[in-house]
Amino acid sequence: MDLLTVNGLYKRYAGKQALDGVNMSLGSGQIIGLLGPNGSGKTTLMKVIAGLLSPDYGEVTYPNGVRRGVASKGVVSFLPDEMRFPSWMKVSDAFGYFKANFPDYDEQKAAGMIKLLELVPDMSIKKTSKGMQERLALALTFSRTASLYLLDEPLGGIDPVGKMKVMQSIITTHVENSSILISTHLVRDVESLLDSVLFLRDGKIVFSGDCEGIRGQGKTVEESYLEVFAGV
Amino acid sequence: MLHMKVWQTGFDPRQSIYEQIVQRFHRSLVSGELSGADRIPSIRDLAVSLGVNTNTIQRAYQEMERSGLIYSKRGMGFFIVEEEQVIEKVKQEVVSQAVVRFLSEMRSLGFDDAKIFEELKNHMKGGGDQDGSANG
Repeated sequence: MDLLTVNGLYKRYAGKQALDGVNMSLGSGQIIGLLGPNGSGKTTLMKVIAGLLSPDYGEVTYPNGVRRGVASKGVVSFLPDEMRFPSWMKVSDAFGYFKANFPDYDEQKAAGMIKLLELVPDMSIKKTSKGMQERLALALTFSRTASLYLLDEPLGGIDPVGKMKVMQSIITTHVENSSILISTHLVRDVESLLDSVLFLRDGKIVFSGDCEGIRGQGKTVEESYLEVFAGV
Repeated sequence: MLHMKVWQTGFDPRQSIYEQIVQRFHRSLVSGELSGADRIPSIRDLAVSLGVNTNTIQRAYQEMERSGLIYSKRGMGFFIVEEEQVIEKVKQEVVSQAVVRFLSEMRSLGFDDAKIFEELKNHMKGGGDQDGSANG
């Protein structure tokens, strides 16, 4: 069963054809990698699916007939490349903000993430390291009970311990009836985590495939990425 | 009991991960890390400790259920079967695969059976640890 489908999506953004006819569907209960070089349109695609940008043409079909305009609150939980917090906020205030703004906020999930990602509720956010702020943003994203989680570069600028924690939080959050779409260019780091991959180049999906299927051909996911993007 | 830390070394990224997980269970039976009637980790726990998707672990468990090596007890998790014949068969397969791998490597180096046997004997005289692998 498809959780979400995208049909003929076009978007001009920052003077560029960022999305150039994207077609894709996301299965339910899957962890999917959205892979492509910088500037291939990953962030734009995620923002359109999250309902933060309007497409020029095309449509996105959400679970339960939810409309795109309200998708960001109802069914999609989006982790942007960078989440900004007001300077006065403590870690616990950020969770309070999410609780007040998202009806699908789940206290128990939030507590689980605080523990797993080793966050300190009393700490002032601006005094924490960049890595900790990224963990906080991920914890907030996963404290909601969404159908689809969109993670834009969740492994960027994070140390190996943080990376392991992030991967663990992704595995624990992953449940049967929700899916997680992860954009990254760090292909090797996420290979073992993914069910399937979508390769995005110049605003088009140029390859989609099942990871165990790729390995079944004696190739790593990274090697098939290099085949597509570097012609190796 | 199974110590999953032993397993945390990486997977071969060119081979299906669920098959490698099944192989690790099979090898754990030979090494004695696992025995009949042992409880094995939950799908989620094993996924987190190995850093792989729960769907992948699920597929490995389904495969082992189908082959009759494990079964699930409602609400209690997964267990290795108690039947000694089933476990013996799996162990025998692991051993025979190891021997076949060794033989095909030696044959690819141009050794015939007599020479392979000769080499084996030479190595075993010294107790089998000339390459230091006994400490590894």
